[in-house]
Amino acid sequence: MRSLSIAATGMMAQQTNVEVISNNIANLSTTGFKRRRAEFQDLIYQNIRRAGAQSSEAGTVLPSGAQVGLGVRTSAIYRISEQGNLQQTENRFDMAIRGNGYFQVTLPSGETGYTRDGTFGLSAEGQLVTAEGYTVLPGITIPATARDVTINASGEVLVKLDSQVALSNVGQVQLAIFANEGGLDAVGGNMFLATPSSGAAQQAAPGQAGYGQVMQGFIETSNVNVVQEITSLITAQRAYEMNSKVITASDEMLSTLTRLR
Amino acid sequence: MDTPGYVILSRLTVQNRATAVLANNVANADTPGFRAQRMVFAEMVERGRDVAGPSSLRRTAYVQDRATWREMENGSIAQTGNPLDVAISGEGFFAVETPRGERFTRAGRFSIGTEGRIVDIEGHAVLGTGGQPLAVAPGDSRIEILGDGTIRSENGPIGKLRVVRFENPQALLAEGDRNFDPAAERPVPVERPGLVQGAVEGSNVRPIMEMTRLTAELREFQFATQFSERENDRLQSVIDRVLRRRS
Repeated sequence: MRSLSIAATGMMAQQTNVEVISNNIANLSTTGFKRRRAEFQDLIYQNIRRAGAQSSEAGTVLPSGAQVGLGVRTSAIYRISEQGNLQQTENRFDMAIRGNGYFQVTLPSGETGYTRDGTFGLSAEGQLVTAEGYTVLPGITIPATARDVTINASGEVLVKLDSQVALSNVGQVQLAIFANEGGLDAVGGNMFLATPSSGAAQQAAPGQAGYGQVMQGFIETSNVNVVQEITSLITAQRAYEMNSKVITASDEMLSTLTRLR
Repeated sequence: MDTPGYVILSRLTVQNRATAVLANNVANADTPGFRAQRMVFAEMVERGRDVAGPSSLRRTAYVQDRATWREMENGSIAQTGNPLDVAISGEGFFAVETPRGERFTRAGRFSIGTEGRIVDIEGHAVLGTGGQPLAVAPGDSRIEILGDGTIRSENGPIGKLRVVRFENPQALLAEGDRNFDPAAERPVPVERPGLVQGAVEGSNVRPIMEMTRLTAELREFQFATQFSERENDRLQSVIDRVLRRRS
């Protein structure tokens, strides 16, 4: 009974689907989280009769073949990089990107990580760091005497020092974009790494053509849409049930066969 | 003497395969661009040999799975928001370049691969009207796909998607990975394909149909096995009677 194993592939695929959906729902309020979707594709086919094969000695050919597919498999789990909502936090070091791009962060391993999570703060040395304490590139130090900090749309960090009237520029946040954002490797902690599939990071200041703008005092919420996720969950559950129904029916056929006198 | 048994056997065998086809439809209910299949049954008539009586009464019809029929109506189109997702709202297939040759698919789930090339989910290059791969330049960030397949970015045109149709789509061979092997069919370019950007076509599997058919198939299978049992009883009683008369 091939239908048993075919339906089993269907159940496994739907299982993956539910896992992806539950991860989305779990990360509903993770800053900068991008929802994911499982993608399926059909497995190989067995050709019982090939289309165009000769069906008689007179030279007639079969107009269409008989093919039995062997099920389904998960082909990819891709990220949907739609913009999330911007939420005001009033925290002056929080930044959100409106548009394309990622903040660059030096990870403890020395690699450069990429993130959309702009929940930043200051280290003991006054450096701009992520919530985990990793340095935000290109490394901006806010002087301890700074009275106020303004970050403009192009990522320039301007501080108001006690003795000066004009704001002084202490650095500019750089954004990275990729030819294929979907190819980035998610490593947890809202962090991504570049891969050969994503292409090398192209850096520029925010606000340039193709790059997003930085907004101070905002963070980007996840782009998970609860209604959509619940609907997909229902669909996935029903699809799982249908596959299990096929297994039940095939099993019943088999048991009829074994009871056959 | 055992002809009824073999007729039933032919029925059970093809029913088994038909259920496998149905199981594959259900398993792929969520596969973009998937086309549901149906098993087509045919009777295979065998003329009785060396038997007396009118020939019309001496025919035995076995059942045979003649072909699988592919339902070709369109699946539902779902919005995804991904700029490189394209659905064909009418007839047609996209062309992709695989190591085995040009293959055709309805699943317009594309992304950007190495060197900016537009690729399908397996990384095969998507072909343009001239049969060449399409590639976006590194600076392109806003990609727009028009209804006729023209792709352009803010820096100018990139190319036009190759969309083709077939005289007899039933002759296409499904190959897995959502692709179809054209076999002997010749692709004909579609003039106005009617593409929708930011959407993907789902499968055309109708769950209600599949579930109803599953129940029907199960009952037919049970009916056939019951028939086989009755036939067994009949033979048994024949043997009993013959033996009784002898003794």
